[in-house]
Amino acid sequence: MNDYRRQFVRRATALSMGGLAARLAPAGLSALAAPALAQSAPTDYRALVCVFLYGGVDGNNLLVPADSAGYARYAAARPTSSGINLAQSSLLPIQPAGGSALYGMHPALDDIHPLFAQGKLAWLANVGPLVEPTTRLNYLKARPDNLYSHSDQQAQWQSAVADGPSNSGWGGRLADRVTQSVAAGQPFPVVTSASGNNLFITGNASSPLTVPATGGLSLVGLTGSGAAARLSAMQALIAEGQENILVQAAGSTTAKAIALSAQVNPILTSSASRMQPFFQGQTSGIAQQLLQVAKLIEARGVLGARRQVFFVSLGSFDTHSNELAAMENLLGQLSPALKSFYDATQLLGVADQVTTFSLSDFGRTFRPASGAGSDHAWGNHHFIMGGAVKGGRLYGTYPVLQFGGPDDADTEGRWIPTTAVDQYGATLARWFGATTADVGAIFPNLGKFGAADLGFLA
Amino acid sequence: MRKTRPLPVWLSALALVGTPLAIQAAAPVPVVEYIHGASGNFLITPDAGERVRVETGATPEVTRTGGQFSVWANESDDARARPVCRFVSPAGPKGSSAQLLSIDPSECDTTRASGRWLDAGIAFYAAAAGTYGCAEGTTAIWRVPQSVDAAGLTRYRYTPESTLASRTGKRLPAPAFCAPLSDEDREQDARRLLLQASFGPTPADVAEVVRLGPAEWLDRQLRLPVTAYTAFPAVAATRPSTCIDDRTLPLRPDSFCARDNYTLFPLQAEFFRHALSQPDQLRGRMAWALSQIFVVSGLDNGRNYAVRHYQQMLRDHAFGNYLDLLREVTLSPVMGDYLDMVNNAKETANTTPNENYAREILQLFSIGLYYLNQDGTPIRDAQGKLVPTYDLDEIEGFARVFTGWTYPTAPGAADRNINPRHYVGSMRAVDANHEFGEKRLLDGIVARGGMTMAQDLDFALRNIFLHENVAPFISQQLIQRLVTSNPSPGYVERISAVFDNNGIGRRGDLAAVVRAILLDPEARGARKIDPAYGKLTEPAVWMTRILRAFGGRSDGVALRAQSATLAQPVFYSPSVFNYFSPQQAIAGTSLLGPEFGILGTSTAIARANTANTLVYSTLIPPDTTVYGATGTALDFTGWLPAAASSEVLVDKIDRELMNRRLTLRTKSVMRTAIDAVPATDPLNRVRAAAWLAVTSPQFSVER
Repeated sequence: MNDYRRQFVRRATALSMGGLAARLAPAGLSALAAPALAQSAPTDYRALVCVFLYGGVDGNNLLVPADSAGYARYAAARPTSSGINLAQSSLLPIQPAGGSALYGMHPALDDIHPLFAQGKLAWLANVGPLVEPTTRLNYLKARPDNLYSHSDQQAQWQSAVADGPSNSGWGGRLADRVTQSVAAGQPFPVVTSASGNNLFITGNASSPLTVPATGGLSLVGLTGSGAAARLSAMQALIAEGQENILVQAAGSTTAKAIALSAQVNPILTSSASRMQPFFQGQTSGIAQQLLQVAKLIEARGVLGARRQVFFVSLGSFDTHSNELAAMENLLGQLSPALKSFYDATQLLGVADQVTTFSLSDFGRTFRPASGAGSDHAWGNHHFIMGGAVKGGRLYGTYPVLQFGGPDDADTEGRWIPTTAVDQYGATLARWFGATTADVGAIFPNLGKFGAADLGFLA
Repeated sequence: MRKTRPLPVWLSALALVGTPLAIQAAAPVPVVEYIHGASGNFLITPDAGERVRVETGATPEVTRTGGQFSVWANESDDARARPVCRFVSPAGPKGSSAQLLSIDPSECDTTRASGRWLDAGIAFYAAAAGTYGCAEGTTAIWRVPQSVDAAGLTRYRYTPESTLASRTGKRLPAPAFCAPLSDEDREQDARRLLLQASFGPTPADVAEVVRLGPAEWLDRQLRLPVTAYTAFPAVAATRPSTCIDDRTLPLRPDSFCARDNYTLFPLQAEFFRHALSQPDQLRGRMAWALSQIFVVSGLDNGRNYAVRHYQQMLRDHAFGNYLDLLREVTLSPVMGDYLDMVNNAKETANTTPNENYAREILQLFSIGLYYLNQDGTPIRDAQGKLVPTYDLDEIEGFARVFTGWTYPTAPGAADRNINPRHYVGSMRAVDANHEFGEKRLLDGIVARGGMTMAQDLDFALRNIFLHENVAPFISQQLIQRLVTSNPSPGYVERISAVFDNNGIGRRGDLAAVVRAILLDPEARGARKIDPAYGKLTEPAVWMTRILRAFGGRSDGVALRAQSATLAQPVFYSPSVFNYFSPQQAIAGTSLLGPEFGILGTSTAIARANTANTLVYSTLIPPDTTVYGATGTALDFTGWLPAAASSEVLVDKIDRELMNRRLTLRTKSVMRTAIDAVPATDPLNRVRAAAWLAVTSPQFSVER
């Protein structure tokens, strides 16, 4: 993260929130817009923000045992000569509550590292798609389809269905359910993606909004004489050819886009937004996407939104080679963007109502691959960030770092998950407002696993 | 032979009162299909007067299906014309009764003799099917049993749509007869062929296809010389500090050294320039399709010269053999770098061979994850489960095969076991890094140890090539890339058969495969009405379609930028899984729609806005940072004469862009929008019409 932004964040935290807002919002507009947002914002607001790390992030280097015995096991398997060793001294130490073991976060996660000690960040160890509780002895019998394939494991993480294809994701199904309960009557779509379409956001009944990773959402050029007639003709053309399903689908997406753009565009392009300064100087895609999310949360009152699920992503984690440099670069984009986003929710007074969490294709082999990288594996470590997180803890069970050991599916260090995606998702969904019946419907295999609530959210 | 007039009128069989048909024209006349709501009975009529009555609301219980074909009204209209006899069922109520049409004189006689049908004389004239189906210039009409009417007689549907005749089967059922394609049909089919096989129909190309016929046009396309991307000299792997983007004026060809050598900017722009004008359009489309199966990405390798070589290789092999293509892809240093086969070493104490290429060559480039039938449907085991094509053992086997290859040696450099990055030519074999032991491959085959590296690779690639999945896996994807997102199993099976054997015993002949894909009845023929038919045009081709329809010219610079806005940055796929998946479902349906993977509210708006930029810019100005830039512009000159009358203009739009699918109602709303622009401003009248056309979902779905 660049020096300018570091200074800015320091300054920002030093200032009172009201003072910051007053300094950053242009005069005039702030007087109108900001109180309007504040007044109408529902008090019962919750948002989930899914950060998908495409390619399969190497969790073995996100969260490393840092005490001498633990690190020795790590370094024996990933020696400096492998090209993917993180030096013990470079690790950012964390001491999870309720345990004696010391861990270290990847050095590029420096911006969010302090949140762990502040109790706003937690880790969930060795979570992944499972068909049923699985051990080294039985994993060949019932394992997720096409283990170690990007597309399939992405789908399993996004759908929380490991034993067959699914046409919907758990973000979308969560939206389907809350639309019938805590978000009943909400005029604005529950789900918004700043990173295109994907399975996670696809529901059975609800359909998501996608916004550009940066900038507004509006039709241009519809001005001047004849513009109104042209817009109505465009809408008449959208209604044509409905006998063809593809035409119908393309048309309904366009119609919906036009309808929602009128609502969303002013928010994404508003000069009264107080969110931009938090992300000043960050040009990464993930920072831009999280800025879009922050702007929509800021406008939750105008939108009448009580429940929102957001999807953002960062790609290129498929580090088969040159892993160290690649992760340094990617986490160097992710970490400041996450911290900026957390700070932005604090300014909005919703830090306790917004929970951010990571998903990824799969973990990677603990054994280094030829070319200073690692190959596709299975269980992985993920973070959960936000004011509602019971942070400073490590949830789940960290695997035994031993090739061919009790947690290894083979001999390469492909960790068999000890916590299911279903449990991870259900914990987030319960906090979001889903009932027991809801989570049973959203996560059809949840009953096969132990705790339905992993307890990392208050 | 004297023409016999049908007895009861067509749609009624059925008691609609109508005047008998009076047909004099020698050209084919249309037959239009309707459905009787209550019974679900399909009805057809060539009677124009009857159609007018129905469509003006005289019979609300009968509605148009969209199905249509043409017939001859007189035997003398064409040398191939033969009478089609017609019988109607005595059953009521009106609209629900069966009718039987046949071109087979003996079937006509048998039916007449049965006494169960009312003889309605000769319906019209058509051609009889030959041993190989219907001749060029005609389209097969299938007689498909639907249900039974009150008299116990079979209700048939008469349709040119192969998917309605059969969705399965290597061979389609024999057609009932062959209907002549009217001039309009031929023009629509030509336009559809150009949607499938080019970067968009131009008026000149439509005329050319009509003149030559689809088969001859395709054969000429297959023989055209390959358009070549401009060759860029190899550059250092890491950008030298002297190679920068220098904004000092005047601009020199090498001012933007960094951008033009270390990003794919020049290649992307040239891709669009070629798409707009290359004579070998089909090769261009095929190479573009292949680049979305055998994916490499500028995200990981922006060296323009390197990816240029790779994309040129795809063009060179687009009509060659699949096995050769697979070998070229495998040994390409660009692919080697992208999927980590380059410098992949045999097992050491700490590392195992890299599995990346092994995994993706199987999952994405050849066989897929599950055993497939030849029609592309998955094979299921006794428990109904899908059957995986490989497991970790096979992945490890292939990973070991793909060891020992390093970058090609640059000219003037010495061979090394780990060569520095260089992307011209094929990867170089290094015995010292190769695993020579035996390897487990597909279908239980084990490659014996001790073969040379070349033998090892050849053995493994042939093991893949001969796998039964390759034909349906690749055929289905090529159909999806060119013709339709949801091909019937029968279509896939017919193409798989050609993949397996091109007619002279060769497997993997891609020219034969693409020819079969584009000449199949599911691709060709009269208007398509299957509700699942067609594909959403991908953004890059959607733009070239607009330019080619309106005489556009471009240096490609603006188009490359817009392609990113539309979520399809050319040659910058987000991952090896392409911009979208062939298995992508259309939300809320059971259909596949790969291109829908990148259509959301955000990109839907972006499409309309891109259309605005293209249509309403007199000239998208030349990029001042690009040497020799000329910008992008459409040319509406040819359209201006039509602008005076909104009716003439909308009809031209309907014919040239909408394949005559606009309804009267929409035409009238479009005319209102056009007439809102003063007649003194013909250019903006044309622009309004053009913008409305290209932003419509009907334009965006090829069918």
